[in-house]
Amino acid sequence: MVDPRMLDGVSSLTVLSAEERDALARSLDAVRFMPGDVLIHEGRRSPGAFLLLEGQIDVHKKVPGPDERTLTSPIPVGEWFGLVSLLDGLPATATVMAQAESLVVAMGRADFWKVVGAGDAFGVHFLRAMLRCTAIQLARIDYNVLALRNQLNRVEAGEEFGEPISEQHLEELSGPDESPGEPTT
Amino acid sequence: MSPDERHLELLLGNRIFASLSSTDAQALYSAGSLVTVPAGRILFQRGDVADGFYLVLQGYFGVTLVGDDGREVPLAGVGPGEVLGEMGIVTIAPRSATVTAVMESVAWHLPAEVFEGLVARGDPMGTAILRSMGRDLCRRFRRSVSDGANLVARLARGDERQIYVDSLGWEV
Repeated sequence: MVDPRMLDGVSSLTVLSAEERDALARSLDAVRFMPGDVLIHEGRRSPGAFLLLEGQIDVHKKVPGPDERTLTSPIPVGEWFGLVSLLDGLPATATVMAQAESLVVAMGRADFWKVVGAGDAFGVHFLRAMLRCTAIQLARIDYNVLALRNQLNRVEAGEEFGEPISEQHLEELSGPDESPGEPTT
Repeated sequence: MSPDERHLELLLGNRIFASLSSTDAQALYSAGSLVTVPAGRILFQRGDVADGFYLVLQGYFGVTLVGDDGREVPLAGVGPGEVLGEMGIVTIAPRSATVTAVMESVAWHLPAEVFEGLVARGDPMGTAILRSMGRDLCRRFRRSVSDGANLVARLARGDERQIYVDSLGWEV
């Protein structure tokens, strides 16, 4: 159980009532991770849902090819992760590792499905909040995929390589945070 | 088979609604309305408020997005039995893409407030639809992650390309 006040200011949970946030806090544990700690392994099922409250945690995705490169992307503070593997029960798409000492609240797989499967309004509202987080993350990935595909088309057509995407345009595309109003698919 | 029976068959044939009983599907169908869209007419466009989602019953819609270079990029074609605009309902966010009827088309529209009512009440039908949307979302997420990694593998060679990939927030 965590202090419900730890969830104050988490934008993805503003759709829950105060009572629902209290109930959620009872199903969560606060965990501190040190640099190098691996929370999720690519190819293995995520052990639960995690919410980053402080610190730095990165996603590492293997890039196909002989040179064994890895694509790295930081998880924004206030964002949930591990959800896709939790929702579909399949192996995680990437490894998640702490880069700095980090504070996370975690909900184990069994607790997650106990809440979501209870068949009450809280379970539905929490599921909806988690799907919303996943959909917003997907929208960010889709915009990057689109930008990469456009660049690849330019390269293959023999056109000049385009300018790196500007921060302003990226923000316009993916939105600065999870507030309602952010464009999504 | 009457038009309504055909529409219900399409509704239950879609993954999002497949777990509903025929009684629930009938009730849900009755809560929506039919929309006829002439060829070339926009059903919704990027930035519009997500006022609900659609099931295509007849015809064909094109989904497009304007890329970072200002060019319109076709994303997908959507035909009978497929759903449009459901992610806006999950995320409570404006539309991210523009959808245009390629030919005269008919869609069933479920207003956002009907869906919100199901979710707010904790109605089992809302849960069933959300869970199906979740499974669909996970499939799309996995496909996009895989596409992204494959594109980076093809693109991120040489300094200039490296800088471009890094500018997306994906450090290689």
